[in-house]
Amino acid sequence: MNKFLKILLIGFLSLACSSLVYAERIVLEGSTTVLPIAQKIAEVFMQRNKNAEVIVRGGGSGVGIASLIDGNCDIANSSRSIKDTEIQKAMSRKVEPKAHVIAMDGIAVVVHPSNPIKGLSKKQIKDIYTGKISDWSLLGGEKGKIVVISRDTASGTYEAFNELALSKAKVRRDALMQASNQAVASTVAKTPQAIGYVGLAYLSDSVKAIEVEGVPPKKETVLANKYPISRPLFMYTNGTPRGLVKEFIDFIKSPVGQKLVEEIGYVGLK
Amino acid sequence: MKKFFWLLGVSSVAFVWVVSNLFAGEIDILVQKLVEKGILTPGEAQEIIVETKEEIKKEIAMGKHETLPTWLQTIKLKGDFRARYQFTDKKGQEDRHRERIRLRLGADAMVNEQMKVALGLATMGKSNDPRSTNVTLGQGRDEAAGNPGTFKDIGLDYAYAEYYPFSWLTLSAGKIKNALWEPSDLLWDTDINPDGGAIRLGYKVNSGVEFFMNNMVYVLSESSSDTSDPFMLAFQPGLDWRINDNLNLKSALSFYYFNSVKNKTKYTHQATNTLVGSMYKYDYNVWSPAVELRIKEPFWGFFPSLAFFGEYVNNPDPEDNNQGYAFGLKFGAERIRDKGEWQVTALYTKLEKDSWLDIFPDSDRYSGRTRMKGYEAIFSYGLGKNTSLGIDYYYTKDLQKTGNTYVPEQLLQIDWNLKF
Repeated sequence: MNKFLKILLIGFLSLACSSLVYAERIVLEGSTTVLPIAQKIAEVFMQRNKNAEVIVRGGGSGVGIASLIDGNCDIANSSRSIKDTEIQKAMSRKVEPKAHVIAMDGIAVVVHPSNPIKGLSKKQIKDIYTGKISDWSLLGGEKGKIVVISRDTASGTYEAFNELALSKAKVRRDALMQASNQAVASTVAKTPQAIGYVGLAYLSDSVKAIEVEGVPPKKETVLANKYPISRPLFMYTNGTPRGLVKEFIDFIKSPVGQKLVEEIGYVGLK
Repeated sequence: MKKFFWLLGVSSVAFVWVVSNLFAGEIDILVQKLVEKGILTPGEAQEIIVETKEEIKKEIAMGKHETLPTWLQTIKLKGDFRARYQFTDKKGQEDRHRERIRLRLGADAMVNEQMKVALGLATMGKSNDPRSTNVTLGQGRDEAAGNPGTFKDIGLDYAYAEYYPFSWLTLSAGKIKNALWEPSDLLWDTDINPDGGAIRLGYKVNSGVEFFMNNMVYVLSESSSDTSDPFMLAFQPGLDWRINDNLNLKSALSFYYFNSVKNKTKYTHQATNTLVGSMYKYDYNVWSPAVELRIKEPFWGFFPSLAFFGEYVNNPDPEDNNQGYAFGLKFGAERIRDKGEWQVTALYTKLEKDSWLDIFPDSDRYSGRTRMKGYEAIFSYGLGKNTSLGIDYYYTKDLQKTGNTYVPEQLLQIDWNLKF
């Protein structure tokens, strides 16, 4: 009897251990712009796959890619394309970053709802952010100093905006640097003379999104490559994904995953 | 020959750019056609276009694109330009104001994973002086007064091959970069690129301690009528010790051996070494210890970096006038890379008459001679990304009297440096 109990106990423990082994874990790290997508997808993915554990961390695109290169995460979230220097560093560590486009993001230029300005050219936006234009009256608006709001230089949104809208020019020194898209939107909503930029997901009635080069920031214009300040959002894996990482990437790209992307406010690819 | 290198560099870059962009462009057109025909959605089209571009970019960065040989994909171009105002005040001579320029262009390419070829072109000051790449405006060839706006000479600054058979071994041959580590330019002008070869060894004991051994052969001259050509051998064992995250100590002991120099040779720019007849009287088989202590963020982060350095040289062949030394400090940014960054260097140097061969030391310090002592202060300031202002001031004196005085010289250089 004792022998039978022992076998039963060992069998039970083995079963418990095997269930623990089966609980696979993947780690996502990187862009704060991609963070809401990653969190939402992870939540639904874990509901559908009880043996999966998905850990999502922020930190910024550069942090995510560095983490993938160092082998500290399975998927690097990035709101910008990987740099040549990062590819070369990855190569030296025998890591081969593979890009997966998971959504599109338009960076909307926003002003206070009371601002009469409807649209700006890219040059005007650049002049505002580099300090050449400092008063709304020079743009057809009411007289008043422009309050420039920007993202902090560590963010992927800043890098994308800096490249797409400012041609890599330096942002004026007196610009108010904010740590998140939400902080930019909130500051613009409270400041009648402010201008800022946020991802499409952060648009709301509290701010007014203006046209850029006559093109409004919308899903249609972003997917058709017409809106000038738009960008793809990436997840990078080490080589062609396998196992749970592949399941996760496939899920984001599936119609269900892309519907979730749209629910959050980004531009889905399906 | 110069044209060939230019064309090679420009066409390589253009070829890589054109091939990658043409390929990406064709994909764009094809995918857009499929969208128009309703086979792909605009979102799927975006996905294909972006991921394809990413893949091409990755392959080029990794040197895997099949349309081009690897060495062409890995070619790197670099260069720098310097505009200089120079003022010289030497007792007994007229003050001299000069505007000078220096242009350098370089390229290197990986032949395979273990071999590299590098070449560089530079403006030439005097055709026979290995120490100067400055061209004085208003002068023609070899510092002769030129007609207004004369063309300036460009020469081969370096051209060498490097082979890395193991992570701890580097072999190089050709007109190479100086393989020896020096904390100051007491012995070696930084423009000198020796004709010869080098073997560099490095052994990392752990992440903080590395022993190195630099060995170099420098072919000083070659004659078709004389089999005993002069050459130099240098051996430099050393230690690079990262004591902790903020403290680094680097030191080395160099030994030099010169063949067929004593009683057999004299170089064009010889100025102060002792001669017998018209040949060097002494050997220059010197020994030279050097040390540098670097401190990161000293004084609670007041500076990004502070370094103390020192160097000594002793030539055992002459009985006197056979020693030299330099010591100084450097603080501020380790390197000037961006706007607002700054660095200050201050040093004192002394080189006795026969302590070292007088064709090698810094050509700006007392016209590059031995038999001198004096101070130097350098201030560098970043004007923007890859561009900086440099102010370099020398106050040096002869160690031997001319008449009743040790002739002093003041030299001021104001540089605008641009890297690309």
